[in-house]
Amino acid sequence: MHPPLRLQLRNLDQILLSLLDERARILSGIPTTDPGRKPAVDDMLRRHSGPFPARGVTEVFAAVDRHCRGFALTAVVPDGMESARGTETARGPESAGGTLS
Amino acid sequence: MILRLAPGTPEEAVQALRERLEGAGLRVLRSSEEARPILAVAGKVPEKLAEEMRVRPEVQEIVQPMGELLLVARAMREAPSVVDVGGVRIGGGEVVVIAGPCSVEGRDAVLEVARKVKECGAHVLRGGAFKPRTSPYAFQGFGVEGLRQLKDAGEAVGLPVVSEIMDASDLPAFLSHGIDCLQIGARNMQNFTLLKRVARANRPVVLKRGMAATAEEWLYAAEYLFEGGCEQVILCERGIRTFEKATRNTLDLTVLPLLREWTHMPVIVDPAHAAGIARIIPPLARAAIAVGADGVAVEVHLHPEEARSDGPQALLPSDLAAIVSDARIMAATTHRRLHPASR
Repeated sequence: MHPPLRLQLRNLDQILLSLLDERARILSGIPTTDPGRKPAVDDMLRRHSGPFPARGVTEVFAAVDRHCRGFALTAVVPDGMESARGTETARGPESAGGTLS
Repeated sequence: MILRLAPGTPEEAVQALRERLEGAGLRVLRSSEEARPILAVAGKVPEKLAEEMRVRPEVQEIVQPMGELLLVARAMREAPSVVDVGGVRIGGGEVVVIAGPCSVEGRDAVLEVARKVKECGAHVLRGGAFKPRTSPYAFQGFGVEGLRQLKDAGEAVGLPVVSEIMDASDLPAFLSHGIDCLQIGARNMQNFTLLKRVARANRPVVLKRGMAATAEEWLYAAEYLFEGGCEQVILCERGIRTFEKATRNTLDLTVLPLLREWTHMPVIVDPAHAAGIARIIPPLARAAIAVGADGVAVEVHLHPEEARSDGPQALLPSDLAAIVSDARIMAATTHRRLHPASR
């Protein structure tokens, strides 16, 4: 792979991680569920037209939900991954800091 | 000339160096930096003395400042400075949002806005009690009563407050009402009497850029504050006068990366006074954070059409919520983070 592409990917990965951290921060300490979560993700999927496959999108959001506090019980669970539902507590990463009030 | 001494240089050696320079009739200023001793020399250092400094073992680095911008110079600190505004740290890798009404318009009104500002996740409540207005017939603010209402609203929702001071004689009222941060507005950026008095107030200061001031003049105004004893200074870019008439002012974002090189002070951006048009404020706020601003300051009103000042540039609470959300994303994409909002 060309070094410029590698650099771009590394930067994108860093930003993805930063955004995931921000998501975790918002949810940190908020023991809530969001019944609108699944419809919202479904809506995003309907609008999604990029090259990242739809199933991948679903899996990514399912993983995000599992690892963030809060929405775990209403997480988006892709086909064939039902066993993941509720297998983790609704606790965020140790590094999760403040919240968006 | 700025002399950056080696970390761990004994205090006696620092004092000896200082006395050598002062003995030559020069004024020597010392940085409050703890990681290493840093001395700034005001005035022209004779070449022979400069050569002596270059070879002294305790002098690790000599930096030539821009003109006589000494205490504000980037070289005077190891890391960019962080200013604490009532528990909210501005600078140092976190992005803040300052929001509130242009003018405090009454106890209930400011409290209602303060609640919305807090709900939206902003970090500091702003509000004008003493208003600098172009027309003497325009609303001039509620004065001291406005300060009281602003502070009460801030305390009710748990946000520190910032308000503009126009006259040094009002300083006791700002201090007695516990205003967490004093703002020096664009029109008073070079009011040196005010700068000197505010510098002694032991409060953080937001120093807005004059509408016709160069960045260098702006930094000299900040130098006045530092020289007077105030090291808690936040610069605020708010637009400058240009030939462009489409907007109230022209937001000078080009200067932000340069300020990062020139000074250790945190810099925030007020896109509202630059734009004067509410609908273009959100993209300007995003751009400000993208270019490195430590925060943005915006005006919020529940009914902008009824605002007693600057209604056209006032945002609705829903706009503010979107700006806070954008700030979070822009901070993350520039390898920083949004300041955790207080509960």
